[in-house]
Amino acid sequence: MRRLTGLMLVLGLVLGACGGTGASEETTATTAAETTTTAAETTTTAAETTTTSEAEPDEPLVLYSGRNEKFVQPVIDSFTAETGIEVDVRYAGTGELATTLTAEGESTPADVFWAQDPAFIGGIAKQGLLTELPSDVLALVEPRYADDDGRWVGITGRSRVLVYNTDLVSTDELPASVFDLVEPEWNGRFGVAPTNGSFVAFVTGMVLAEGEERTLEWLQGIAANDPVIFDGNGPIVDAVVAGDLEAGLVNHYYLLQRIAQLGDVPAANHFFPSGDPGGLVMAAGAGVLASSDQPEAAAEFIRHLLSSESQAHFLTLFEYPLIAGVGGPEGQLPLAELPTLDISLTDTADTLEPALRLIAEAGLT
Amino acid sequence: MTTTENIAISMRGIERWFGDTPALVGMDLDVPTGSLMTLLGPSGSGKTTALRLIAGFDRPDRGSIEIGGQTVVSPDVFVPAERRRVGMVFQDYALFPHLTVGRNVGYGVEKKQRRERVAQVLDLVGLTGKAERLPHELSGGEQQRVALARALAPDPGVILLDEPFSNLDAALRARVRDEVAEILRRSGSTAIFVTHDQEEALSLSDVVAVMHDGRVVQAGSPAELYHFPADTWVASFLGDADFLPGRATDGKVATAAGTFPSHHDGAVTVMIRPESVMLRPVPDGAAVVRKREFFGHDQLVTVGLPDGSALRARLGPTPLLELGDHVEISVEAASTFPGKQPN
Amino acid sequence: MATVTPPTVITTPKPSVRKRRRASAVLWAAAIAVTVPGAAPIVHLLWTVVRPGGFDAGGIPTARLVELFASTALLVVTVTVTALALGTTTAWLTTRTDLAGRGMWSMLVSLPLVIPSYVGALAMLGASGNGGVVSLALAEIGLPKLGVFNGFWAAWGALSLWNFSYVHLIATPSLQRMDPTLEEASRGLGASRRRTLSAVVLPQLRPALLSSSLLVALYVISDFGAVSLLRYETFTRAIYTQFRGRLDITPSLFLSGILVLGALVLVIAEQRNRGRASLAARRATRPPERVALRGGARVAGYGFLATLVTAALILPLVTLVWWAGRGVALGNTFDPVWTEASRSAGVALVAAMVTACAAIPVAILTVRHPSRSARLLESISWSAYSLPHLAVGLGFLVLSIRYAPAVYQTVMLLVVAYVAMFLPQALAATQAGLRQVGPSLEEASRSLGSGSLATLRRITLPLVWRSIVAGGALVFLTVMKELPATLLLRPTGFETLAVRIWSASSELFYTQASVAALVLVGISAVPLYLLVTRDLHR
Repeated sequence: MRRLTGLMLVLGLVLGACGGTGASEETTATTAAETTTTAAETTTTAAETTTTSEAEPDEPLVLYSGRNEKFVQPVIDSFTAETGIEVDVRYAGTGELATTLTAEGESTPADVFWAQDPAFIGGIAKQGLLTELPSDVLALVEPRYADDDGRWVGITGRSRVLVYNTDLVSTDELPASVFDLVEPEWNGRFGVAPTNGSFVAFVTGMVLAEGEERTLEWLQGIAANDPVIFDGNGPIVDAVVAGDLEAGLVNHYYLLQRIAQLGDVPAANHFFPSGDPGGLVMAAGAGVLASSDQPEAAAEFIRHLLSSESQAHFLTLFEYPLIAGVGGPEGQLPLAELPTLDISLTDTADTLEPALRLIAEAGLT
Repeated sequence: MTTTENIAISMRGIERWFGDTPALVGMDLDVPTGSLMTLLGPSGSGKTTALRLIAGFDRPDRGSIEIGGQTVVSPDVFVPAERRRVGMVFQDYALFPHLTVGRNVGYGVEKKQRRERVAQVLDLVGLTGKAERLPHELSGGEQQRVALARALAPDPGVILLDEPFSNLDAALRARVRDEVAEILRRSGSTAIFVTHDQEEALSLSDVVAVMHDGRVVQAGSPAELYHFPADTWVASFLGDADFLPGRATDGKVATAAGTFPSHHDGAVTVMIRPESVMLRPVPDGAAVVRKREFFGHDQLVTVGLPDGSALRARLGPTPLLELGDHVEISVEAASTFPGKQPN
Repeated sequence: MATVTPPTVITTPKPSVRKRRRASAVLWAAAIAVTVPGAAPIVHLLWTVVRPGGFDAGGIPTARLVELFASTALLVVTVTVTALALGTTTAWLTTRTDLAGRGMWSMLVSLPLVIPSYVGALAMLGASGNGGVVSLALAEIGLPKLGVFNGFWAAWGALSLWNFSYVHLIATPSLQRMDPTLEEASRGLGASRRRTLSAVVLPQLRPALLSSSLLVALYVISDFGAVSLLRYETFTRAIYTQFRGRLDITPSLFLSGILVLGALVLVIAEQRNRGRASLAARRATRPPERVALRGGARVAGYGFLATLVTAALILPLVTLVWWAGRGVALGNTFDPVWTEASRSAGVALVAAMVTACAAIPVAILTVRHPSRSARLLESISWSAYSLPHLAVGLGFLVLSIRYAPAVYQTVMLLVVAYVAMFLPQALAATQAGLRQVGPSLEEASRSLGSGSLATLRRITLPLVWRSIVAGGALVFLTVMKELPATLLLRPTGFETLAVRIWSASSELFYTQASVAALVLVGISAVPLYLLVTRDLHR
């Protein structure tokens, strides 16, 4: 009985908070009026609270991050330690965040967008949602790893590779070109993540280098060659490492991270030669939203991402630092010696729409 | 006719529709102060609807209701249930299962007087000492008395009882009925019972109002109704009755069962209750025993009359009649209605 | 004296049921206020499809829609049939046979509900393949390893295993309450046990089976996490693919609208069927007869229950524990999930309390003042619940960006979405409670001088309190597990357990995902245990 009374008290509080919603029939006019007033007051209070928190001068910087938490969090911690500026991070896929930013438009709460690839951030820049970065920030990175109009800058570099299981695939079997994957000998043996941002970005590069027609042909050939479809790169590499899958199209660093974690594994990265769209080196770029109410802090954050300290952290995760003087991943080719493709990363924004359309047309989404 | 001061409840022209279905159509009723009245009718006659309108649980589509001289329902007035001072005893008792007997009874009483009043009312219903029990720990008859005590406790002007005895078994019912009537009389309350049980209505109340198809068809003392029903429907609803056709002239009507006085001339129907019929076995009697149902304390004998119609007689356990015996009929009382009745 | 009126000639039959009363404007206003927000995103999604030119805006080839429809339908049908078979069998074994430990078994086959299907899928991935727990165990004893669970069979298995408990929970009380005299009558008329089962028992179970199959079917349509992890293409997964791959939200809204239309068809079909099926309600006077299982049948009964419990409960938990432990052994540091746990539990608690209290006016309105409009309001409140939550989340996302930017990405919007989606869970519980409290109790209180608010406080709420709490507990459990709407609507930086599990498992960070999943399962187990013991012992 007593316990029930206690519980009733709690419920009473909840009911009170809801503004007395449970009135039965024939409630007198007075009660109704009172109820309405209470509800109105509650609303006012809530609105005031919202306003107050928004008007806070040193509100946290909002980062939309397409990079994962392991990659991002340490540099945020050091940024906050140095500047005292808090950062709230929304972690999600680059594509998800790009769609969200497009839907939000000018009203986005985000200050900084950090993408996994040049195409999606280029798409956001093309919509006029990014502001031009300060020249000292742009000066830190080679121009080919930044937007031609200075609206985003590459933070790290990563190469597309074919990861393969060394027990299941012999080196002489490896394809000379990414175009060889449509051959019958690769039927059912490899994995792709066609809806993942880095695959999409790779296709934007292929459209630039080879044209829409050839790209569609390749995509259809891939789709017809019974590939194993994944959502992301990590699971492909895990499947290859475990021997559940023979090979897969991924970024270079996933395997290196697994090796660092697990020691020697029966897998290796296969680089496609220069000029082959399979070997595109992409920049994972970041930019400041035009609607940001603290652009200086946002630019400061990007400056911090390009500090040698942050870049050294990215190196531990085997991505290529893009500022000079930090070096490259141990045991890997230096950035300058990676196979190259003669396209402008800025232009990938223009081929994003066709790339997405072609992927869909080939039945890969 | 009673004056207004002596009327506890007055209903005028009450109509209540549920969608396209009428429940009450022009119901009028006056309940004398201090009386025990029964609303009697078959199921669907509108009696429970009427009770709920008086209690204020429902609102009529048309008509007005006064309680104790104060208008509680009219086109512009609606006094909610909680301000009508009307006590209600429900068919299922509706005892609050989470409250003790004492708290149930004290529910409608002001805090100051609660303790004293609860003791007083529990004493009235003979449940002293059970105040700390929970309702489910009591017997059916005790629950009934708690429900009554709870309704009486706030000292309402009127007590309404909706089929209050229907949940009790037959053996208990008669006793509880007497107790309740006794308690109500002692407390001086005006009470309205709703029931479909004729015996209950006739034995319990001062006034019986018979309802049929959404209105009161006759109201009066139990004996009045039984002996002088307003029509053949009331006559057969209140008890067994046989109807014999006849043609009246000069205030008399001759039927196969004898000649009776009549207020109407022309085609009439004579109502005869089996209790008013006496049978005497005589070898040359005009009527013949056709059927015999023996109940122990009495028997119901059906005899065939010379014109082929049948008449029932309720007799004591004797005489023992056999099928085919010839009997002589005498009828103590009969009433006549104008017109030829169906059947 | 009393007035005498002549006999009347009215022959219309009178209603014998209790009459409805008028509901006050305040009650209506409250009920509408808590119901309508949930309908807004649905209306918006439907509008994106049916508006002029809407059908073309998706830019998705019709052939692709047909393909998605077929793959979704295949999964819906197979999972629903499997879950019905599994759940009815467990319910029958634990109520109508003489197997030992029926109460314990009943509890064990209900517990898989603490495992959200995406956690189940994660465990399936972690158990299979060359590196999986089960594979390693099999290799240990010289058996071949399992292939990776993915595609149709894996999705079918996962959704069946982690949904059949709904059927069990709904069918059990029906089997318990069934009047045994009907079965005896059937046997007495010479029908065999088998014929009695098919001709008498199953038809009586029809309403329960229908509503639980609708529940399962809607879950399958709505499922996003499990099919994504197990890589089986359904409509819901395609919505997400469109969302993340198009830089434009319109195609995903378009697909959502189409999916909502499809789900609506199912809901309406079930309601029509239920109308015809609900007459079978009879109250039992005695407990049902139990079948004595002997020999092989008895072994098979225990074997069935044990296999199911192993597959749906023990294996996934063992897998999660193994991965968590292995990560720790390898020196992996996994992030502390206590912040996420307290966020998940906190927001679930708030959502549960608000939902439980929002359900009260709707319950009073629908139970005490039934009318066509009240029924309509109730149907509206069911819309956001029955329809895919990814779609509902997208609807809320767009609407709030466009019309309520102040609440966009706030906990408030998240709670509003939860209330909109899970109101029916609290509503159903509160309605059941109210139906058990006869209206005469409230009328008695009114006639004793208490007004409607006082009656609510003194009589109604104390009596339905337990039902309200039960409804709240169910909402708590569901909110804890909810994934897609949380992903879309959570405030920035507000990572919950579900979000954490999702992001870790889509990268196959088993250790991180497992730790968070175990915490989620642990917290969910408390309300589920309370609910299940309450449901099964009633």
